Amino acid sequence: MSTTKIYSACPVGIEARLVTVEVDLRRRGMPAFTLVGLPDQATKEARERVLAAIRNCGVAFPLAKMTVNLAPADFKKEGTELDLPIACGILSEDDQMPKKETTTRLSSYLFAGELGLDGQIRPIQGALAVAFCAKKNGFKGVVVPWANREEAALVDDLEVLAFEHLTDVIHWLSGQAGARPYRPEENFWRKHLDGGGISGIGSCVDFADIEGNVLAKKALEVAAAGGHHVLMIGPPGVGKTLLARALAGILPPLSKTEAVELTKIYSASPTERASGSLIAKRPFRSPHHSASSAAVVGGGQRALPGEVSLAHRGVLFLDEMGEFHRDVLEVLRQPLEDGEVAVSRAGAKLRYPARFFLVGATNPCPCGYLGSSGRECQCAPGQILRYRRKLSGPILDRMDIQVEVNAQEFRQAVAAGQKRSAPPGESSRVIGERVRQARQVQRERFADLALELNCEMSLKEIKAYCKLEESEEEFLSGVVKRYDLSPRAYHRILKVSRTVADLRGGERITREDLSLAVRLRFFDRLAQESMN
Amino acid sequence: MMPVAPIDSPQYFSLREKSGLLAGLAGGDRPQGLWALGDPGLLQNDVLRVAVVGARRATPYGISVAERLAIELAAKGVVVVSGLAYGIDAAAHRAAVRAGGRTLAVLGTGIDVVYPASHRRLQLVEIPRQGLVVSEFSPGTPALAHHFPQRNRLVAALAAAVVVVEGDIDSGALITARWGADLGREVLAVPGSIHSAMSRGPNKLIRDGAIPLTQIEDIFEEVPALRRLAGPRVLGKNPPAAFETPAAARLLEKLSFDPVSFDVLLEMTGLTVEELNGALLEMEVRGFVQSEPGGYRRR
Repeated sequence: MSTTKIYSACPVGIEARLVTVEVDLRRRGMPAFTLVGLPDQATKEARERVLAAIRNCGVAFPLAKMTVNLAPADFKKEGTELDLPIACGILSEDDQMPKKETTTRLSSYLFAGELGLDGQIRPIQGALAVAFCAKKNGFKGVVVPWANREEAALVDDLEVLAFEHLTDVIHWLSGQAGARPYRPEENFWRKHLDGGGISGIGSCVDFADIEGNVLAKKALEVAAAGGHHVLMIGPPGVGKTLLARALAGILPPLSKTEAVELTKIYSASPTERASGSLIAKRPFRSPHHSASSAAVVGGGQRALPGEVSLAHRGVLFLDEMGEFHRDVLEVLRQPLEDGEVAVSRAGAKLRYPARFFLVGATNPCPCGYLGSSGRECQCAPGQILRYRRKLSGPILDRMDIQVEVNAQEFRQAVAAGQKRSAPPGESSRVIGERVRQARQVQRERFADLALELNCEMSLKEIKAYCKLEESEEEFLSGVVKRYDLSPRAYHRILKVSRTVADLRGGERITREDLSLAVRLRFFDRLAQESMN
Repeated sequence: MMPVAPIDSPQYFSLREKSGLLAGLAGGDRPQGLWALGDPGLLQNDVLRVAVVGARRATPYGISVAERLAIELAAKGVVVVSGLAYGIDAAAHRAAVRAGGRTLAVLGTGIDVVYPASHRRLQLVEIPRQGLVVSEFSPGTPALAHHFPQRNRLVAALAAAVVVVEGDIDSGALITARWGADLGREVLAVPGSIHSAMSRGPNKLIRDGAIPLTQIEDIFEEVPALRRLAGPRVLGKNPPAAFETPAAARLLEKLSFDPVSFDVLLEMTGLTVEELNGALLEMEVRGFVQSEPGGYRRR
């Protein structure tokens, strides 16, 4: 007696591990169907689905003692993607198909798919990871559910066979029918990637549609150009969220590699609606401030990617940043530092990419109305200090830009019953183009180094690339003295001013560049003064 | 009872011989003792002292009045007396220190206790350098709510006049004013909007007979002890020496003592973001403009 071997893959985090499905069938003894090899609940239930699906395809289910082993047996198999390979393995072992063709086909493709009781093949989680696994292990192609075809086809040089029904697979395996590999349309990448914009709930906001707040818009432009994380400070309802959304719209479109990377993450997240298709736009994620640290960095029983990973290459927006649990803000440090996050779970340590743009928003004080013209602030000075202190520390340290957002002008315009005379602001397209050029300048400057954007500069690079002329140096030291700035703040200002100069296309950092960078350090300037 | 001996640090000294100063206070209201840090000369009988007091939760209006008042007083050698609380008190002390003047802080805690903590530098370094910090509470006394109104009587007693800048009707500043009136000091109040809760106190004082301070310089006219100082202003009015950024001088005219937002300034001046920002920052660095939540104002 021989056994049939068939290959599949199980997602582990955003990758997938090769699994060999071994089917052993004995005609003697009590008919039985045993599944071994550390399956989880969903995988265990494959038995019932496979049984019904085979019968409902008009094929006899073998009456024999069957053992299905999932190797390697030492890691937990999760999900439903093993249904299809198990079914195929049983049918092949039962000699219901011509042995020769079937064996070659079985061994050169990797199989994954969930079965319905009627034999329909349903989509699975992590199809992209499975396809990558097939490629890595030298398979000719991958057999996936029809609904997952686009995702699987993102892997280059891999044949993607997509089926809708178990009967189709049986026909193909037994040589009764051919199968045409799925190919994405010609201009697939161009169509998806060039648009820019953001994915996720809600659409992108154009800068031209946001009134006033010229300084905040400028800040976001600088942030986008240099990759600097931003904190916006302003009373409720002045459009901080709107601005954050608009930021995603001026970031350059995703590259193909980035899109594939991102799709892998979404493909592994069962709760995401977008899962299953290509994620071609930068994500915009805004977790609520009651979110747990597992929800933000990833984890839980299945160690799913968290918000930081779902915001990979996009914007992670933390509204009411001061209201987040302290430990949630603390755990953001590692991904901010490393661009990825390690999630530990029983038996495994998973790494998820998490290179996101952090945009925070906070009220200036607990009641929110400090400094706004329409309403009086109700907070005691000590309360305001405590509120700010909660934000300070390691996270605030990593936000190069802190800018004030306010609604005063809008209120005044309404009160006076007059329309704004100023021309509408620049559109996201125009700003986005400047950002693109500024990023190009940075890429050229850092061509020989392991960095890409100004935000990544260390002290050494700051010294080399943020040189000031004597008069500017003098000006900046005046500022430092006036606001009693720390050396750290001083370096932040230099970094940001480098980006301001790059946006202008200037080689030299001018005094105006420096002034803008100083303006974008709200808390540093405030610390000494406002708490009289 | 005589003051207790100096505590460990040589910077502290007892004010045994100075207690005559507080003669205005009835026996029971006299402090048990005074601990001090800084220059005891500020307590000499011939030194002119004016109290500038007000709410902790001050508005930008109150802060700017307190600052300008303190600068004017300091410039003429008058000691600015206040309680070193948040808001008006701290603004007055700070402005006096910055203007190179002398200021006297009367604490509601022990002399070695810093409250609120953010005033550490002000209390331990900046004020004592030229001015004086005093407390009637024994060292180590923590911040207790009932000590602050008690401290206010010393603020009034140590000053020739009390100026209430801002405060609600239940504010401690009004307690200071009442003590001032009882001790025969001049009581002045800074009028404010009838809509502002922080001006309710001073407005009420004016209704009850306090002198309204309608111009900063009036302080020298209205307080008999200061009358000899009245005259041309030494500080403040003269426009600053040339600014380096060309737009700055023009901009200064557009700024008021209430904060104006960046967007509005942009529209008013027609400058570019970079020009306006550069000009504002230069003026901030040189101390003519203050930026705060909500916008920019003169100072």
